[in-house]
Amino acid sequence: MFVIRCIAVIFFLLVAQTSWIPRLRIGGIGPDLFLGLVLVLALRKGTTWGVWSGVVLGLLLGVEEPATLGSESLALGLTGLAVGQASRSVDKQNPFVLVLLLILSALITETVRTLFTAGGNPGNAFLLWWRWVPGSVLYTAVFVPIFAYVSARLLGIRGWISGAA
Amino acid sequence: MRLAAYAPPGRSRRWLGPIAALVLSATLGFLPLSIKRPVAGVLERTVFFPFRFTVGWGERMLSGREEAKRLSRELAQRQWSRDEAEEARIENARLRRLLGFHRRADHNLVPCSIVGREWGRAGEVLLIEAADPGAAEPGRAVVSPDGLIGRVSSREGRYARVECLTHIQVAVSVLNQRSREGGILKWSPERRPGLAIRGIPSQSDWQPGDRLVTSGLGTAFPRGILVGWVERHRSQGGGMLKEVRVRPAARAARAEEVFLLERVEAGFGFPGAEEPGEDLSALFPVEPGARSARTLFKGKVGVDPGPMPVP
Repeated sequence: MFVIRCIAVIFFLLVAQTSWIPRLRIGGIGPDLFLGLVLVLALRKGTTWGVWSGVVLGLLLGVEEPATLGSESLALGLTGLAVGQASRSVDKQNPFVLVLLLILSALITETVRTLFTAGGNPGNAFLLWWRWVPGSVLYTAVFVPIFAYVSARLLGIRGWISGAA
Repeated sequence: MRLAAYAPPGRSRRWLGPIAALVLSATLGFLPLSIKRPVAGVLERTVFFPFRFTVGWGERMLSGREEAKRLSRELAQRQWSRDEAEEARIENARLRRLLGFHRRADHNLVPCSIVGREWGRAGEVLLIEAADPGAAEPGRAVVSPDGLIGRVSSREGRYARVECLTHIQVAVSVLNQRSREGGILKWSPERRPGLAIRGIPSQSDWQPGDRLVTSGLGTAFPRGILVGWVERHRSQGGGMLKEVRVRPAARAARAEEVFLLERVEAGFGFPGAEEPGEDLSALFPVEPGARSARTLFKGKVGVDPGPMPVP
């Protein structure tokens, strides 16, 4: 049942990410819903689930845009790894902690993406990082919790973070 | 050696999968785009096909609806533009004729717009509004680029009533341009309504297709205004006389703009005229390339009534 719900959520997020989410972009920066999904799976199911879900979702995004194939998987996979490891020692019911974890995971994801985009040039990487990362992190940290809360209320899902790995 | 001796410890075994996935992702990330594209294609057609198909269907549906709305708007816009262009084309053609007509005229032509039409038992009447209200004096000839329309019967302020050729009060002295025969053209609302010249000698020369213009006799209409063409003739009065049916050149029902022929107060013609009763034939030239009336009216062999504009 959990797997089926995951697949349904992935469908929904994929449709949203390719249809109306791009319209919410500000200066080319938009929220990352898949990051929120990796975060939830890593918190709920642990490191292994976090890494595999990050890699698979990254491949799914990479299929959409072949230039990012691999880099998205690595970024989301590392995020899943970090959050999975951090979830062992944090209070998963505290919303502030969750937002903090979201910010951390957004930082990791955007940094890895920026490094791949820079193509190995440190100067480019530095400039790109300042241009894209803070805005993306902020936008994701604000939008994803609101989106998740509204979705959970609409779908009647309660306690979707509870349940230790 | 037993394979189990080389098996990694339990906790380490759990990390094999995630680390392998991360290494695979990193490897993919550093590959060139020429390799990434085929790999992405394979993944799209196999593992992720259900996701891509569903998302693609959603995208197609959304974009299809938007495309349909856009096309619908564009179609409405194009239809409106097409209607506008057609109207502009018709108006352009009409105004070009008017301009050409006006250019040929050396006389004062006061443009008027038709504000009303009336068809009663006495015949057809137009209500016009002249650009110069003072020009619409009773008795003035009213013409269109096609020919004679009628004459002003009365004036009320800016508006004037025009009795058309197809009115029982209007009688026009006409001249056959070919045979130089004359007659009085009147409209009759009786058994067979129509414009006709009656009571002319049966030996007079009137052929189908003959061009009729105003003769200038009397003070009603100046000479040379195109009135129409002979349609047919038939005997009357026991064969001593005949009746000539005339098809009018100008149809009041189709006219959109008309002109008042402004008469010069000196009474000897029109502005620029040197002799009284100046011929206005130049206003209604014979159209080049017009079909022969013989073809249309099956006139006598050997008689050439001259070309007639195609109505």
